[in-house]
Amino acid sequence: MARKQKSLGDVFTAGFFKQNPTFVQFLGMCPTLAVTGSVDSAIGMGAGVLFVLLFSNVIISLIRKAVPREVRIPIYIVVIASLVTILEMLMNAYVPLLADKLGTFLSLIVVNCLILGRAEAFASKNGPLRSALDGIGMSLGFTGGIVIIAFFRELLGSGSITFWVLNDGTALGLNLIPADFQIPLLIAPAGAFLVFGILVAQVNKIKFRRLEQSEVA
Amino acid sequence: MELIAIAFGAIFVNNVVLNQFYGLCPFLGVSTKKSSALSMGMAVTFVITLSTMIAYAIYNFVLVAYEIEYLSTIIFILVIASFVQLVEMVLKKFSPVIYSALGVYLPLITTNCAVLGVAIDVTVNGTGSSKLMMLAGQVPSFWEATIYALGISLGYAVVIFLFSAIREEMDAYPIKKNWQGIPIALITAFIMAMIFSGFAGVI
Repeated sequence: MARKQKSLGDVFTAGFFKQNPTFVQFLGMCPTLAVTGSVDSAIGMGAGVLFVLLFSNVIISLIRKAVPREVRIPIYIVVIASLVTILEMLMNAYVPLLADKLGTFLSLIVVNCLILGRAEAFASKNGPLRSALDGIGMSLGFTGGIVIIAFFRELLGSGSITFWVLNDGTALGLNLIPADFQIPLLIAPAGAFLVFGILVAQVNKIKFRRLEQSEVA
Repeated sequence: MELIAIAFGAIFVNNVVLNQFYGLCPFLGVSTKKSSALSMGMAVTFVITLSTMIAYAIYNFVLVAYEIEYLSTIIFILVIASFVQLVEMVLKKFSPVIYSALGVYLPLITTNCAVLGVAIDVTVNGTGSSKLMMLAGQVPSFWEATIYALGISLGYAVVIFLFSAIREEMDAYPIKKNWQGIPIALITAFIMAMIFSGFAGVI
């Protein structure tokens, strides 16, 4: 390879800021908006994506030399769909409340463009270790992104921050804002677009400022 | 009468994009021009309606009969992917006019989560029963599922067309640099979602 390969650390941290799936690449937007009504479902979705992306990246990177180029996409989809089925079964068995809350979006991880995108752009060209690191880094970046959105929506919309809901229904979290000062609109579907739009604009602002600074320097 | 209620609910109240967040990537990606939005809307309508009918039949007559419902995700995505391929080939052979209008958008539809989402909603344990205004866990009949899928995809076509018309107009106005593109589109979608949430009172 003519170009020097990125170091393992760079592979791992690429998903955090520079190529953040949520705010920079806009991958997997359906779950981004749909599960961010509360922090706990965002964390659950992030964990699900981490599971699927980590294993799909490793498996696809292991079989990358055996897969013919013409039929690679169907093969990737079958690998991803099998992993999602395993995830569905695990979640239904161990965290049924979370599985109910995520509902259809748990199955829809199959068509999350983040996962197929990383398979195509990274795992099909790199070794298993690098692909695993890329998978963990990207899904942590994705989780971070949706948790930030969920944080604003839940805090301002229902005045609380729920980190996790136990199987008996007890919520581990904080109640911060009394009912009179909440903005229920943010919890409604429409609010997702508003919060995400404002956050993306702020991220863009920071991005452009950084670009200007690096041009001056 | 019930079928009309289901269709109205699917088009406006539980709008696929603004209320359920299915198919957002093409919604934001292919909505910069009215003509492409219209083609995308038509392609989606065609594929969602037919693939939901196929998925419904496969789920109820094959998967349930052999008690392998847990394979539904894998089967559905394979069925949808091959169905989209088939549609592409048939159109290419028999109707070059439609193919030239929709051709580019067909492969994109495989990863449009609306297709898989609707298929799952109308089959698996009545996941989407509340969206069809039914009792929790009730599984819709074949015709109810078909009408729902048709309504959902028409809702998609209507919203993506309106959205592209707004975005075309918006090009003429100066917008701050960090708000250009996706952020302002999301704010537009927010306002549209608020308007569409008003339809909830109709039913």
